[in-house]
Amino acid sequence: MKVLLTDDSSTMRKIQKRVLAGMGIEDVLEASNGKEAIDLISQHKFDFVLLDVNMPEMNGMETLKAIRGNPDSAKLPVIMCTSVADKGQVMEAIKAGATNYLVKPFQPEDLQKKIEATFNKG
Amino acid sequence: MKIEYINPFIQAAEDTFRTMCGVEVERDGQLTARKNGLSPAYNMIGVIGLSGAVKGAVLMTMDTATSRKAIMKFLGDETVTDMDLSDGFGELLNIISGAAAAKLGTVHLAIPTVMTGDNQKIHSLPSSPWIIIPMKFPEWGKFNIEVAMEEA
Repeated sequence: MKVLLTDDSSTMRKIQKRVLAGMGIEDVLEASNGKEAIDLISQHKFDFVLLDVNMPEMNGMETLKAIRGNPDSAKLPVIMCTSVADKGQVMEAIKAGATNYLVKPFQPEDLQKKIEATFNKG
Repeated sequence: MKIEYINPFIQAAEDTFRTMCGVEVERDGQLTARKNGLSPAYNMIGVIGLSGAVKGAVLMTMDTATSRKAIMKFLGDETVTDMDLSDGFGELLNIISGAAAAKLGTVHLAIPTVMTGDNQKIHSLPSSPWIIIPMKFPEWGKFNIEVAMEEA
């Protein structure tokens, strides 16, 4: 399984990477903003993306819309993992096509459950 | 500034440090106001701007040694680089601010900024002074969350 972590916090990416390693997922690429993520998505075939919302350059909502707007990535599972907990903004992300949504703070098992739930949906 | 703006930040700090770092934090005394132009109490400072239903900023300040202990727990790693320290500090502030902001209406968070050094001057809106919320890690030491905001 190949995963793209997109978060402007390098410490958060390290934490997410460790959770994925615990699930046996070692093939992980990292992006620190939406533009980098879109570039990587155009070059690699990912099984899912973890996507933060508040990022410089291109934020998570813009990135999600760009992913869904491209036929090549329109069905790519995207799990939003963000400190944005406002219900209105969560609903906006779901409407824009987020596959799942995890609000920080989270425990490692919360992230693992969201990933498992994402694949059980399909 | 409305007093109901304060409790969400205390609750969010408790939840964030408990969930992400596995440590408890607690309130450590009365709220005070810090006048514009005076420096925060500790030498590591993170600031994040808020806009939307409220406008203003949130600040977290802690000494570097205490910050390093918190980031070690956050990362789950004994090795904490200077980059980890500033990035992790900003991310913890971002998480605290996001959790608190959700209780204040639709509030948008800016990207956090982290700085280190003594005698930093951090200005707030002229009409809204920094309100200091004293907090502590019972085993490690004190830190402050400061809030300067008003209804938009």
